[in-house]
Amino acid sequence: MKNEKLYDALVNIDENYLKEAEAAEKSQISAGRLAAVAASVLAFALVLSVVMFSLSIFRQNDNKTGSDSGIPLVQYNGRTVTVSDSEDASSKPLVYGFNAVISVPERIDNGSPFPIELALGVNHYNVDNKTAVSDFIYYWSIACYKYEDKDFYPYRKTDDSFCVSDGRGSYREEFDFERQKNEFLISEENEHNDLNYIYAADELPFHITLPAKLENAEDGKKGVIVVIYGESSEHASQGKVFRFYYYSNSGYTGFGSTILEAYNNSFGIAESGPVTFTLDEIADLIDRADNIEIVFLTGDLQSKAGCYLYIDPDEHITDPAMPVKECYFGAAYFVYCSKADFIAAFKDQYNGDSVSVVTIDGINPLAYKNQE
Amino acid sequence: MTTGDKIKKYRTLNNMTQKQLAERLCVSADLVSKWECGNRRPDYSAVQELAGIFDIDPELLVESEDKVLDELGALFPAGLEKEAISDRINTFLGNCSDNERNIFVLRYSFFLDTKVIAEKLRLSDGNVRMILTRLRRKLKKHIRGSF
Repeated sequence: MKNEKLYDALVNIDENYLKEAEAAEKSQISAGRLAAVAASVLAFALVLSVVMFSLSIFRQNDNKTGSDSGIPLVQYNGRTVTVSDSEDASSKPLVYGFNAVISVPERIDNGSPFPIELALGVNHYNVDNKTAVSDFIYYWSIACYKYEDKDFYPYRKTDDSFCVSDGRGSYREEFDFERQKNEFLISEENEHNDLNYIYAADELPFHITLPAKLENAEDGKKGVIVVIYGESSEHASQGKVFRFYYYSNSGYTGFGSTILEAYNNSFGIAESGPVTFTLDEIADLIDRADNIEIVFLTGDLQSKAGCYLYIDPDEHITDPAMPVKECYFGAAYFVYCSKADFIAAFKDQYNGDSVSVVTIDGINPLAYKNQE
Repeated sequence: MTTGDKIKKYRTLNNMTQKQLAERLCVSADLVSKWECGNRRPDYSAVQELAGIFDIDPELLVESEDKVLDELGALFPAGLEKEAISDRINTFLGNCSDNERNIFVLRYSFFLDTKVIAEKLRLSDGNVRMILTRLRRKLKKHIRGSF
């Protein structure tokens, strides 16, 4: 057996940990049964809410906004909802595995706030110690802002101020979030003070624009950011390999920078536009890096998340600079991994092995296969 | 198929009861039962004994586990003895949150598929895999820091 020592070592881990895991497994199953009932009730309530809110929209006059109805417009997408207490007493209530798709009313006046999101399984980065250790999933409620026929989304900046973005990198204006938060339907209960969220691909909640940290790069180190776009089925059928954006971050401001800042301050315009790399070339790029930040962005997130993601891989091909920024405004699946993990993940994906080191949701393994 | 499933399969094929198998191995029938249920695992020397009794290659019993352990294999320096590995893993798990620890144990001690863990813990599969990726990173740092 190749991993004999490790195998035996894991046989001998603390008995308490084994019992604890066993107990967690069992208790969650029991909780799951209860949750299933709760989920059914909630699903019914949500459907009812949709109906009621639709009726209220239908009835409302021009002076009334969506928020006035007080009923979130939510479509439950069928995932089970469970709510549990956090291990951390100071944390907010947790919502596990909950994903909701919010229907935006077709008719809404300019300047009228309305809810666009109900929170979701969010992978949480610990802001206090700058590590990505927490697996807490927080409830997040957010609102959308309609302006000049475009939907704008609150975008929280690192200095705690807010501005709104149309999700394509342009800002409407900065605004006083504190003053407007009630208007934006974010209650004290639901508001989360953490500023840094990374959304897993299959938990992507709409196209909320939140800054993310490049947390594992250090000042003075070389680094690589590889942005990987999922291939559309069309690309895969053409035998194209994955596309990557590659940046050297020699000017990278390092720990604590947001991707947006890193992009603006360090990368500037992409040093290289969209380039098609082979897996070996990627490995070479990774070899040359001291730190690795890998961002998986896939065109298939839309179907994965059950919600709209406006990023279109084809747009990135035609517009080499802008889409990168768009991607960062959009949603990304961040993975920090070693070169070995990275390559292994691709190979796992290619082999159809469920034991992937790194999830690469939405990337069509055919592309890799064709490359081989 | 897990090691436990395979033990049960080959025991049945050999027309043995848990008690009979336990007697051959000089262990309790309860332990054999736990192996088969996946609550505990035989160490590798027991796997070899089991393979001898069943007249099969020991690799057949642990091949799926070996593959899972590949995820962790590269994290530990060659030459590190199993007791030292155990110590480091225990210390590492002691610093993890309950949820992280459970996910780690369910994956690498119980060898559950990430999808199964996700289902059991009411998380998404992507989330479980992401947590495992983070845990491996943390474990790597922990091991580096221990030298």
